[in-house]
Amino acid sequence: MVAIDLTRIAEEIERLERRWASLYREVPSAERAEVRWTASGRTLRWHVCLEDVVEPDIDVEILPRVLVIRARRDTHPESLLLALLPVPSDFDVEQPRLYWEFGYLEVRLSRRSGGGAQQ
Amino acid sequence: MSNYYEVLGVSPDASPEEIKKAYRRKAIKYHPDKNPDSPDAEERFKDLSQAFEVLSNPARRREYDAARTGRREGRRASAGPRQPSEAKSWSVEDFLSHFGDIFGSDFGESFHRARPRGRPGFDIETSLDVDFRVAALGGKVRVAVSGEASCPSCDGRGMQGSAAVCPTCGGSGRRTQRTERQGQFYSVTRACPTCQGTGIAPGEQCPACHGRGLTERTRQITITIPEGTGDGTTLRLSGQGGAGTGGVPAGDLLVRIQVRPDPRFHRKANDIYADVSVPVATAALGGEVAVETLHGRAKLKIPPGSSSGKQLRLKGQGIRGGDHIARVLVAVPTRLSKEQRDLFEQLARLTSD
Ligand SMILES: [Zn+2]
Ligand SMILES: [Zn+2]
Repeated sequence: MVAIDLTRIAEEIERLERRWASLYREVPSAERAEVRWTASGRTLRWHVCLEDVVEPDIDVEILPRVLVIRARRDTHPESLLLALLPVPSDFDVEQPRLYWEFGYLEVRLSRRSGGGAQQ
Repeated sequence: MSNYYEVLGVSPDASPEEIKKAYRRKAIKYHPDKNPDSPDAEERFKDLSQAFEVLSNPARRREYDAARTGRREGRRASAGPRQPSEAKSWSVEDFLSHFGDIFGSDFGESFHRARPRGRPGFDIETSLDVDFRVAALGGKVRVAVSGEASCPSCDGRGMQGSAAVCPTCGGSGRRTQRTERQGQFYSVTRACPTCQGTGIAPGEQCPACHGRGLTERTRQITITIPEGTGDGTTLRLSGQGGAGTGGVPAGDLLVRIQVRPDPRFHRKANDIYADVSVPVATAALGGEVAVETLHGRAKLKIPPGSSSGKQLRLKGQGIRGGDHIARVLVAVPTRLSKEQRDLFEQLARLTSD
Protein backbone atom coordinates (compact mmCIF):
# COMPACT_ATOMS: atom_id res chain seq x y z
CA MET A 1 0.00 0.00 0.00
CA VAL A 2 1.43 3.32 -1.02
CA ALA A 3 0.94 6.19 1.33
CA ILE A 4 -0.80 9.04 -0.39
CA ASP A 5 0.30 12.50 0.54
CA LEU A 6 -2.93 14.38 -0.11
CA THR A 7 -1.47 17.73 0.86
CA ARG A 8 1.32 17.40 -1.63
CA ILE A 9 -1.07 16.29 -4.38
CA ALA A 10 -3.37 19.19 -3.57
CA GLU A 11 -0.52 21.68 -3.78
CA GLU A 12 0.66 20.22 -7.03
CA ILE A 13 -2.81 20.30 -8.53
CA GLU A 14 -3.35 23.88 -7.43
CA ARG A 15 -0.08 24.96 -8.93
CA LEU A 16 -0.70 23.17 -12.21
CA GLU A 17 -4.16 24.72 -12.36
CA ARG A 18 -2.59 28.16 -12.24
CA ARG A 19 -0.04 27.10 -14.79
CA TRP A 20 -2.62 25.90 -17.31
CA ALA A 21 -5.23 28.56 -16.57
CA SER A 22 -4.63 30.13 -19.98
CA LEU A 23 -6.43 27.21 -21.57
CA TYR A 24 -9.68 28.55 -20.13
CA ARG A 25 -9.22 31.62 -22.29
CA GLU A 26 -9.05 29.46 -25.39
CA VAL A 27 -12.83 29.38 -25.64
CA PRO A 28 -14.01 32.49 -23.85
CA SER A 29 -17.62 31.41 -23.98
CA ALA A 30 -16.91 28.05 -22.37
CA GLU A 31 -18.24 27.35 -18.95
CA ARG A 32 -16.07 25.69 -16.37
CA ALA A 33 -17.30 22.28 -15.40
CA GLU A 34 -17.43 21.50 -11.74
CA VAL A 35 -14.52 19.25 -10.85
CA ARG A 36 -13.53 17.30 -7.77
CA TRP A 37 -10.76 14.85 -7.12
CA THR A 38 -10.02 12.07 -4.70
CA ALA A 39 -6.92 10.01 -4.24
CA SER A 40 -6.42 6.66 -2.61
CA GLY A 41 -3.99 3.80 -2.97
CA ARG A 42 -2.40 4.16 -6.38
CA THR A 43 -5.28 5.97 -8.00
CA LEU A 44 -6.19 9.58 -8.55
CA ARG A 45 -9.83 10.03 -9.49
CA TRP A 46 -11.29 13.07 -11.12
CA HIS A 47 -15.03 13.61 -11.05
CA VAL A 48 -16.23 16.02 -13.67
CA CYS A 49 -19.84 17.15 -13.58
CA LEU A 50 -21.08 17.29 -17.16
CA GLU A 51 -24.74 18.01 -16.94
CA ASP A 52 -26.81 17.91 -20.14
CA VAL A 53 -23.97 16.35 -22.03
CA VAL A 54 -24.38 13.39 -24.33
CA GLU A 55 -21.53 10.97 -23.85
CA PRO A 56 -20.07 11.02 -27.39
CA ASP A 57 -19.79 14.80 -27.12
CA ILE A 58 -16.99 14.47 -24.61
CA ASP A 59 -13.47 15.04 -25.79
CA VAL A 60 -10.52 14.23 -23.60
CA GLU A 61 -7.30 15.88 -24.70
CA ILE A 62 -4.11 14.45 -23.29
CA LEU A 63 -1.32 16.95 -22.71
CA PRO A 64 1.92 16.40 -20.81
CA ARG A 65 0.72 17.42 -17.37
CA VAL A 66 -2.97 18.02 -17.83
CA LEU A 67 -6.10 16.49 -19.27
CA VAL A 68 -8.44 18.92 -20.94
CA ILE A 69 -12.08 17.89 -20.99
CA ARG A 70 -14.34 19.61 -23.45
CA ALA A 71 -17.97 18.69 -23.60
CA ARG A 72 -20.81 20.13 -25.57
CA ARG A 73 -24.08 20.61 -23.82
CA ASP A 74 -27.05 19.13 -25.53
CA THR A 75 -29.57 21.64 -24.25
CA HIS A 76 -27.76 24.75 -25.37
CA PRO A 77 -25.95 24.04 -28.62
CA GLU A 78 -23.59 26.96 -28.14
CA SER A 79 -22.53 25.99 -24.67
CA LEU A 80 -19.27 24.20 -24.09
CA LEU A 81 -18.13 22.86 -20.76
CA LEU A 82 -14.42 22.93 -20.13
CA ALA A 83 -12.42 21.34 -17.37
CA LEU A 84 -8.71 21.12 -16.66
CA LEU A 85 -7.50 18.11 -14.77
CA PRO A 86 -3.93 18.79 -13.73
CA VAL A 87 -1.93 15.62 -13.30
CA PRO A 88 0.80 15.54 -10.64
CA SER A 89 4.08 14.26 -12.01
CA ASP A 90 3.93 10.83 -10.42
CA PHE A 91 0.66 9.90 -12.10
CA ASP A 92 0.43 8.56 -15.62
CA VAL A 93 -1.44 11.04 -17.76
CA GLU A 94 -1.18 8.89 -20.88
CA GLN A 95 -3.53 6.13 -19.78
CA PRO A 96 -6.67 7.67 -18.38
CA ARG A 97 -9.55 5.32 -17.70
CA LEU A 98 -12.88 6.91 -18.36
CA TYR A 99 -16.26 6.10 -16.89
CA TRP A 100 -19.48 7.84 -17.65
CA GLU A 101 -22.53 7.73 -15.46
CA PHE A 102 -25.48 10.03 -14.78
CA GLY A 103 -23.91 13.20 -16.00
CA TYR A 104 -20.59 12.53 -14.30
CA LEU A 105 -17.37 11.68 -16.03
CA GLU A 106 -14.93 9.86 -13.86
CA VAL A 107 -11.30 9.86 -14.95
CA ARG A 108 -8.96 7.48 -13.19
CA LEU A 109 -5.22 7.81 -13.32
CA SER A 110 -2.69 5.42 -11.88
CA ARG A 111 0.46 6.27 -10.07
CA ARG A 112 3.49 5.46 -12.15
CA SER A 113 5.22 2.33 -11.01
CA GLY A 114 8.08 3.21 -8.73
CA GLY A 115 6.67 6.69 -8.18
CA GLY A 116 6.10 6.45 -4.46
CA ALA A 117 4.97 9.25 -2.21
CA GLN A 118 7.72 11.73 -1.58
CA GLN A 119 9.27 11.72 1.84
CA MET B 1 -37.87 5.89 -50.42
CA SER B 2 -38.46 7.01 -46.90
CA ASN B 3 -39.38 10.48 -45.84
CA TYR B 4 -36.23 12.26 -44.73
CA TYR B 5 -38.10 14.41 -42.25
CA GLU B 6 -39.55 11.32 -40.63
CA VAL B 7 -36.15 9.65 -40.60
CA LEU B 8 -34.75 12.57 -38.67
CA GLY B 9 -37.89 13.00 -36.61
CA VAL B 10 -38.39 16.64 -37.46
CA SER B 11 -41.23 18.59 -39.01
CA PRO B 12 -40.96 19.66 -42.67
CA ASP B 13 -40.50 23.26 -41.60
CA ALA B 14 -37.63 22.45 -39.22
CA SER B 15 -34.85 25.01 -39.11
CA PRO B 16 -31.33 24.01 -40.17
CA GLU B 17 -30.39 24.10 -36.48
CA GLU B 18 -33.16 21.67 -35.59
CA ILE B 19 -32.08 19.37 -38.38
CA LYS B 20 -28.50 19.40 -37.20
CA LYS B 21 -29.53 18.71 -33.67
CA ALA B 22 -31.86 15.90 -34.57
CA TYR B 23 -29.24 14.29 -36.75
CA ARG B 24 -26.63 14.54 -34.08
CA ARG B 25 -28.85 12.90 -31.49
CA LYS B 26 -29.92 10.08 -33.74
CA ALA B 27 -26.46 9.52 -35.16
CA ILE B 28 -25.21 8.98 -31.65
CA LYS B 29 -27.98 6.52 -30.94
CA TYR B 30 -27.65 4.47 -34.11
CA HIS B 31 -23.95 4.63 -34.64
CA PRO B 32 -22.81 1.14 -35.72
CA ASP B 33 -20.00 1.13 -33.19
CA LYS B 34 -22.54 1.45 -30.48
CA ASN B 35 -24.78 -1.25 -31.87
CA PRO B 36 -22.37 -3.91 -33.07
CA ASP B 37 -24.94 -6.72 -33.04
CA SER B 38 -27.71 -4.89 -34.78
CA PRO B 39 -27.66 -4.74 -38.59
CA ASP B 40 -30.81 -2.70 -38.28
CA ALA B 41 -28.91 0.09 -36.57
CA GLU B 42 -26.44 0.21 -39.40
CA GLU B 43 -29.29 0.58 -41.90
CA ARG B 44 -30.86 3.31 -39.85
CA PHE B 45 -27.54 5.06 -39.54
CA LYS B 46 -27.19 5.07 -43.33
CA ASP B 47 -30.72 6.39 -43.73
CA LEU B 48 -29.98 9.11 -41.24
CA SER B 49 -26.87 10.13 -43.07
CA GLN B 50 -28.70 10.22 -46.39
CA ALA B 51 -31.47 12.29 -44.91
CA PHE B 52 -29.05 14.68 -43.33
CA GLU B 53 -26.99 14.98 -46.48
CA VAL B 54 -30.02 16.21 -48.37
CA LEU B 55 -31.75 18.28 -45.71
CA SER B 56 -28.63 20.06 -44.56
CA ASN B 57 -27.93 21.36 -48.03
CA PRO B 58 -30.38 24.23 -48.76
CA ALA B 59 -30.43 23.67 -52.52
CA ARG B 60 -30.96 19.94 -52.28
CA ARG B 61 -33.51 20.39 -49.55
CA ARG B 62 -35.53 22.75 -51.80
CA GLU B 63 -35.33 20.23 -54.61
CA TYR B 64 -36.38 17.44 -52.27
CA ASP B 65 -39.28 19.49 -50.86
CA ALA B 66 -40.50 20.29 -54.35
CA ALA B 67 -40.44 16.65 -55.32
CA ARG B 68 -42.08 15.53 -52.10
CA THR B 69 -44.98 17.98 -52.19
CA GLY B 70 -45.43 17.58 -55.92
CA ARG B 71 -45.82 13.82 -55.84
CA ARG B 72 -46.75 12.85 -52.33
CA GLU B 73 -44.22 10.03 -52.41
CA GLY B 74 -40.87 11.23 -53.65
CA ARG B 75 -39.75 8.71 -56.25
CA ARG B 76 -37.66 10.86 -58.44
CA ALA B 77 -34.11 9.83 -58.29
CA SER B 78 -32.92 13.37 -58.68
CA ALA B 79 -34.49 14.32 -55.40
CA GLY B 80 -32.63 11.67 -53.48
CA PRO B 81 -29.01 11.71 -52.60
CA ARG B 82 -26.41 10.94 -55.18
CA GLN B 83 -25.75 7.28 -54.70
CA PRO B 84 -22.84 7.35 -52.27
CA SER B 85 -20.37 4.79 -53.49
CA GLU B 86 -18.75 4.30 -50.10
CA ALA B 87 -21.99 4.10 -48.17
CA LYS B 88 -21.55 0.43 -47.38
CA SER B 89 -19.22 0.65 -44.47
CA TRP B 90 -19.28 3.37 -41.89
CA SER B 91 -16.00 3.82 -40.24
CA VAL B 92 -15.15 5.91 -37.26
CA GLU B 93 -13.61 8.41 -39.68
CA ASP B 94 -16.89 8.76 -41.57
CA PHE B 95 -18.66 9.38 -38.37
CA LEU B 96 -16.11 11.89 -37.28
CA SER B 97 -16.19 13.71 -40.58
CA HIS B 98 -19.95 14.05 -40.27
CA PHE B 99 -19.53 15.32 -36.78
CA GLY B 100 -16.98 17.75 -38.05
CA ASP B 101 -19.56 19.02 -40.54
CA ILE B 102 -22.28 19.63 -38.08
CA PHE B 103 -20.12 20.83 -35.28
CA GLY B 104 -18.70 23.16 -37.90
CA SER B 105 -17.81 26.63 -36.94
CA ASP B 106 -18.86 26.85 -33.34
CA PHE B 107 -17.55 23.59 -31.97
CA GLY B 108 -15.05 22.10 -34.35
CA GLU B 109 -13.12 25.28 -34.83
CA SER B 110 -12.53 25.92 -31.20
CA PHE B 111 -11.36 22.34 -30.90
CA HIS B 112 -9.12 22.30 -33.89
CA ARG B 113 -7.57 25.63 -34.51
CA ALA B 114 -5.16 26.10 -37.38
CA ARG B 115 -2.03 26.32 -35.22
CA PRO B 116 -1.90 24.96 -31.72
CA ARG B 117 -2.00 27.80 -29.26
CA GLY B 118 0.72 28.31 -26.75
CA ARG B 119 1.49 25.79 -24.14
CA PRO B 120 3.04 26.48 -20.77
CA GLY B 121 6.62 25.32 -20.44
CA PHE B 122 7.61 22.23 -18.58
CA ASP B 123 8.97 22.10 -15.10
CA ILE B 124 12.60 21.16 -14.84
CA GLU B 125 13.74 19.16 -11.87
CA THR B 126 17.32 19.10 -10.77
CA SER B 127 19.27 18.35 -7.63
CA LEU B 128 21.97 20.46 -6.13
CA ASP B 129 24.68 19.67 -3.55
CA VAL B 130 25.10 22.52 -1.11
CA ASP B 131 27.67 22.99 1.65
CA PHE B 132 26.40 22.63 5.17
CA ARG B 133 27.31 26.20 5.97
CA VAL B 134 25.65 27.68 2.88
CA ALA B 135 22.47 25.74 3.59
CA ALA B 136 22.48 26.87 7.20
CA LEU B 137 23.27 30.53 6.69
CA GLY B 138 21.93 31.01 3.18
CA GLY B 139 23.87 32.06 0.15
CA LYS B 140 24.02 32.11 -3.61
CA VAL B 141 24.94 29.15 -5.76
CA ARG B 142 25.45 29.17 -9.49
CA VAL B 143 24.10 26.19 -11.32
CA ALA B 144 23.88 25.03 -14.93
CA VAL B 145 20.36 24.11 -15.96
CA SER B 146 19.50 22.47 -19.24
CA GLY B 147 15.99 22.81 -20.49
CA GLU B 148 13.82 24.06 -23.27
CA ALA B 149 14.30 27.57 -24.50
CA SER B 150 12.80 29.45 -27.42
CA CYS B 151 14.50 28.33 -30.65
CA PRO B 152 16.85 31.07 -31.91
CA SER B 153 16.79 29.83 -35.56
CA CYS B 154 13.07 30.40 -36.04
CA ASP B 155 12.37 32.79 -33.20
CA GLY B 156 10.18 30.16 -31.62
CA ARG B 157 7.86 30.01 -34.65
CA GLY B 158 8.86 26.42 -35.48
CA MET B 159 8.73 26.85 -39.26
CA GLN B 160 10.74 28.13 -42.19
CA GLY B 161 9.16 31.01 -44.08
CA SER B 162 5.44 30.57 -44.60
CA ALA B 163 5.18 26.86 -44.06
CA ALA B 164 2.48 24.45 -45.10
CA VAL B 165 0.22 22.88 -42.54
CA CYS B 166 0.56 19.24 -41.61
CA PRO B 167 -1.53 17.14 -44.00
CA THR B 168 -2.46 14.59 -41.35
CA CYS B 169 -4.04 16.92 -38.85
CA GLY B 170 -4.73 19.93 -41.06
CA GLY B 171 -2.58 22.08 -38.84
CA SER B 172 -4.37 21.41 -35.61
CA GLY B 173 -1.43 19.43 -34.24
CA ARG B 174 -3.85 16.97 -32.73
CA ARG B 175 -5.40 13.73 -33.65
CA THR B 176 -8.76 12.79 -32.27
CA GLN B 177 -9.81 9.21 -32.05
CA ARG B 178 -13.03 7.77 -30.85
CA THR B 179 -12.43 5.25 -28.16
CA GLU B 180 -14.71 2.74 -26.71
CA ARG B 181 -14.38 1.89 -23.07
CA GLN B 182 -16.83 -0.46 -21.43
CA GLY B 183 -19.42 0.18 -24.10
CA GLN B 184 -19.10 3.93 -23.77
CA PHE B 185 -17.75 6.31 -26.35
CA TYR B 186 -15.42 9.22 -25.99
CA SER B 187 -13.11 11.04 -28.22
CA VAL B 188 -9.58 11.17 -27.00
CA THR B 189 -7.22 13.73 -28.46
CA ARG B 190 -3.49 13.29 -28.57
CA ALA B 191 -0.61 14.99 -30.35
CA CYS B 192 -0.61 14.32 -34.12
CA PRO B 193 1.96 11.59 -34.86
CA THR B 194 3.01 13.10 -38.20
CA CYS B 195 3.97 16.55 -36.95
CA GLN B 196 4.38 15.70 -33.26
CA GLY B 197 1.77 18.25 -32.37
CA THR B 198 3.35 21.20 -34.12
CA GLY B 199 0.73 21.44 -36.88
CA ILE B 200 3.45 22.14 -39.45
CA ALA B 201 4.20 19.73 -42.32
CA PRO B 202 7.36 17.81 -41.44
CA GLY B 203 9.34 19.13 -44.44
CA GLU B 204 8.58 22.74 -43.54
CA GLN B 205 9.55 22.58 -39.93
CA CYS B 206 12.50 24.55 -38.67
CA PRO B 207 15.37 22.04 -38.89
CA ALA B 208 16.92 23.29 -35.67
CA CYS B 209 13.92 22.59 -33.47
CA HIS B 210 11.89 20.19 -35.68
CA GLY B 211 8.94 22.51 -35.60
CA ARG B 212 8.60 22.73 -31.88
CA GLY B 213 9.87 26.28 -31.59
CA LEU B 214 11.94 25.16 -28.63
CA THR B 215 15.46 23.90 -28.33
CA GLU B 216 17.43 22.33 -25.55
CA ARG B 217 19.77 24.84 -24.03
CA THR B 218 21.98 25.06 -20.96
CA ARG B 219 21.76 28.22 -18.93
CA GLN B 220 23.63 29.42 -15.88
CA ILE B 221 21.31 30.36 -13.10
CA THR B 222 22.13 31.83 -9.72
CA ILE B 223 20.04 30.25 -7.02
CA THR B 224 19.55 31.94 -3.70
CA ILE B 225 19.62 29.36 -0.95
CA PRO B 226 17.52 30.60 1.93
CA GLU B 227 18.93 30.57 5.43
CA GLY B 228 18.24 27.32 7.24
CA THR B 229 17.56 25.20 4.16
CA GLY B 230 17.28 21.57 5.22
CA ASP B 231 18.43 18.47 3.37
CA GLY B 232 15.81 17.31 0.87
CA THR B 233 14.14 20.70 0.58
CA THR B 234 12.81 21.49 -2.87
CA LEU B 235 13.12 25.05 -4.00
CA ARG B 236 10.69 26.16 -6.67
CA LEU B 237 11.91 28.92 -8.94
CA SER B 238 8.92 30.02 -10.86
CA GLY B 239 9.39 30.79 -14.52
CA GLN B 240 12.93 29.37 -14.57
CA GLY B 241 11.92 26.07 -16.14
CA GLY B 242 11.36 25.22 -19.79
CA ALA B 243 10.16 27.99 -22.09
CA GLY B 244 6.48 28.15 -22.98
CA THR B 245 5.26 28.60 -26.55
CA GLY B 246 3.00 31.26 -27.97
CA GLY B 247 3.66 33.73 -25.20
CA VAL B 248 2.53 31.33 -22.49
CA PRO B 249 4.61 31.31 -19.30
CA ALA B 250 7.66 29.13 -18.80
CA GLY B 251 7.66 26.23 -16.39
CA ASP B 252 9.24 26.20 -12.96
CA LEU B 253 12.65 25.04 -11.94
CA LEU B 254 12.52 22.60 -9.05
CA VAL B 255 15.78 22.30 -7.21
CA ARG B 256 16.11 19.54 -4.70
CA ILE B 257 18.75 20.53 -2.18
CA GLN B 258 21.14 17.93 -0.89
CA VAL B 259 23.11 19.29 2.03
CA ARG B 260 26.66 17.97 2.27
CA PRO B 261 27.28 16.84 5.83
CA ASP B 262 29.95 18.64 7.84
CA PRO B 263 32.02 16.52 10.23
CA ARG B 264 32.13 19.37 12.76
CA PHE B 265 28.49 20.36 12.93
CA HIS B 266 25.23 18.61 13.45
CA ARG B 267 21.92 20.35 12.96
CA LYS B 268 18.73 19.96 15.00
CA ALA B 269 16.09 22.43 13.88
CA ASN B 270 17.77 25.82 14.28
CA ASP B 271 20.37 24.69 16.80
CA ILE B 272 23.84 23.53 15.89
CA TYR B 273 25.57 20.85 17.91
CA ALA B 274 29.35 20.55 17.95
CA ASP B 275 31.93 18.86 20.12
CA VAL B 276 34.49 21.00 21.86
CA SER B 277 37.72 19.63 23.20
CA VAL B 278 38.52 21.06 26.66
CA PRO B 279 41.87 20.49 28.40
CA VAL B 280 41.43 18.57 31.62
CA ALA B 281 42.64 21.44 33.79
CA THR B 282 40.25 23.90 32.16
CA ALA B 283 37.44 21.38 32.60
CA ALA B 284 38.26 21.09 36.28
CA LEU B 285 39.11 24.68 37.09
CA GLY B 286 37.01 26.52 34.54
CA GLY B 287 38.22 28.92 31.91
CA GLU B 288 37.72 29.79 28.28
CA VAL B 289 38.20 27.92 25.04
CA ALA B 290 37.91 29.00 21.44
CA VAL B 291 35.17 27.31 19.45
CA GLU B 292 34.30 27.26 15.76
CA THR B 293 30.69 28.23 15.10
CA LEU B 294 28.88 28.68 11.79
CA HIS B 295 29.42 32.38 12.18
CA GLY B 296 33.16 32.12 12.90
CA ARG B 297 35.34 31.76 15.95
CA ALA B 298 33.87 32.50 19.36
CA LYS B 299 34.95 32.24 22.98
CA LEU B 300 33.19 29.71 25.14
CA LYS B 301 33.21 30.00 28.94
CA ILE B 302 33.86 26.67 30.63
CA PRO B 303 32.45 26.55 34.17
CA PRO B 304 34.64 24.80 36.78
CA GLY B 305 33.95 21.08 37.09
CA SER B 306 32.73 20.46 33.55
CA SER B 307 32.84 16.81 32.61
CA SER B 308 32.52 15.19 29.19
CA GLY B 309 29.03 15.38 27.77
CA LYS B 310 28.14 18.66 29.41
CA GLN B 311 26.34 20.95 26.99
CA LEU B 312 27.17 24.61 26.89
CA ARG B 313 25.12 27.08 24.97
CA LEU B 314 26.21 30.00 22.84
CA LYS B 315 23.08 32.04 22.38
CA GLY B 316 22.15 33.11 18.89
CA GLN B 317 25.11 31.43 17.24
CA GLY B 318 23.01 28.81 15.44
CA ILE B 319 20.64 29.20 12.49
CA ARG B 320 18.13 32.07 12.37
CA GLY B 321 18.72 33.01 16.00
CA GLY B 322 19.08 29.43 17.16
CA ASP B 323 21.92 28.45 19.51
CA HIS B 324 25.28 26.83 19.12
CA ILE B 325 25.47 23.99 21.59
CA ALA B 326 28.96 22.84 22.47
CA ARG B 327 29.35 19.38 23.94
CA VAL B 328 32.36 19.19 26.22
CA LEU B 329 34.91 16.49 25.50
CA VAL B 330 37.55 16.52 28.22
CA ALA B 331 40.90 16.01 26.59
CA VAL B 332 43.19 13.92 28.71
CA PRO B 333 46.79 14.09 27.58
CA THR B 334 47.95 10.76 26.24
CA ARG B 335 51.60 11.32 27.18
CA LEU B 336 52.48 12.82 30.54
CA SER B 337 55.70 14.49 31.49
CA LYS B 338 57.38 13.46 34.76
CA GLU B 339 56.10 16.59 36.45
CA GLN B 340 52.52 16.16 35.12
CA ARG B 341 52.58 12.55 36.26
CA ASP B 342 53.55 13.54 39.80
CA LEU B 343 50.80 16.15 39.94
CA PHE B 344 48.12 13.68 38.77
CA GLU B 345 49.24 11.13 41.32
CA GLN B 346 49.05 13.78 44.02
CA LEU B 347 45.54 14.69 42.80
CA ALA B 348 44.48 11.04 42.82
CA ARG B 349 45.64 10.64 46.46
CA LEU B 350 43.75 13.79 47.49
CA THR B 351 40.44 12.85 45.78
CA SER B 352 40.41 9.27 47.08
CA ASP B 353 40.60 10.40 50.74
ZN1 LIG C 1 13.31 26.51 -34.66
ZN1 LIG D 1 -0.05 16.93 -37.75
